[in-house]
Amino acid sequence: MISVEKLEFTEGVPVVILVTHGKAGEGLIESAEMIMGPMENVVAISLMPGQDPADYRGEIEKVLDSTSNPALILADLFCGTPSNSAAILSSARNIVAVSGLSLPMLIEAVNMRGNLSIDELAKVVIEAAQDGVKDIVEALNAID
Amino acid sequence: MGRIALVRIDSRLIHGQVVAKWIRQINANGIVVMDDELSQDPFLKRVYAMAAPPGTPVNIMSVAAFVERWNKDQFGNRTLLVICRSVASARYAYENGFPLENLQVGGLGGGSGRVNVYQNITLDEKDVEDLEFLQKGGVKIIFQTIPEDTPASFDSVKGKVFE
Repeated sequence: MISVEKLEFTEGVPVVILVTHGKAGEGLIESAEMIMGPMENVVAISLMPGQDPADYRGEIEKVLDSTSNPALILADLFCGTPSNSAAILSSARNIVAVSGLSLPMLIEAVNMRGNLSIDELAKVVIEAAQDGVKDIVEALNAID
Repeated sequence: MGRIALVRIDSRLIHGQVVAKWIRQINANGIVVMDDELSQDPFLKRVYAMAAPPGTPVNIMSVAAFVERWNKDQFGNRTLLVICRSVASARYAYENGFPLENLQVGGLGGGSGRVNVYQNITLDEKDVEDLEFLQKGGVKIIFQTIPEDTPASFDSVKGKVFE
């Protein structure tokens, strides 16, 4: 299920596509907007229970085909159906996709997409996501 | 001598943490995905092989290739987790020489005609027929998603398909 009614994207702004089991992507967009304000060119494609994987891939292709902007796919779980969908599509088209979707990853993608090529963007979002994983109390105790 | 520690039916084949749990549980050091269709598709093979935990070798092979290799050298000294994608493919393997003694139905998703029988495992009437065939042949069948779950017997769940 695609989170937006109309696939109309602002020219020149890379599109961030969240691919997740269920509506995790839609929820994450809401969370990100609490911090970032309204975000354009971000769309969630939710894999619904019982949905045929080929059908789901078709939804991703529909979004990709709707724009000539570069696109960065962010998948929740490495080797889950959404992630595998991106992998399978990569045999036929240029796909830039990162797994391990999290709020810091999404925020970084939106913050940095104006400055970087899509491949560079993929690298920085990986780093941002990894940097976001910390033991909170340990980090606190490390501050004098 | 190699041994088959677990034969699992899972429509998702190898997927992340569930397979990692089973590998630890049975101390497997090799995964075989037995699927005729997949074995013919070099690209898709890579997609599925990517899901294996790092360090665990994966072979994706047809039933015939598995049986031949098994009869030849039992995969050396490996302790194997064998995965196939459906009840039908497990029956097909059995009918084509795969040494099936114990079968775990671990993951089968929804679809038309499919009924949820235990946790999130579904069966349809053809599956029940195939499982009964295997059971009559002496195969022991359980339903279990992860090692922490209590396994359910085939007899205890099959009635739900006809309710």
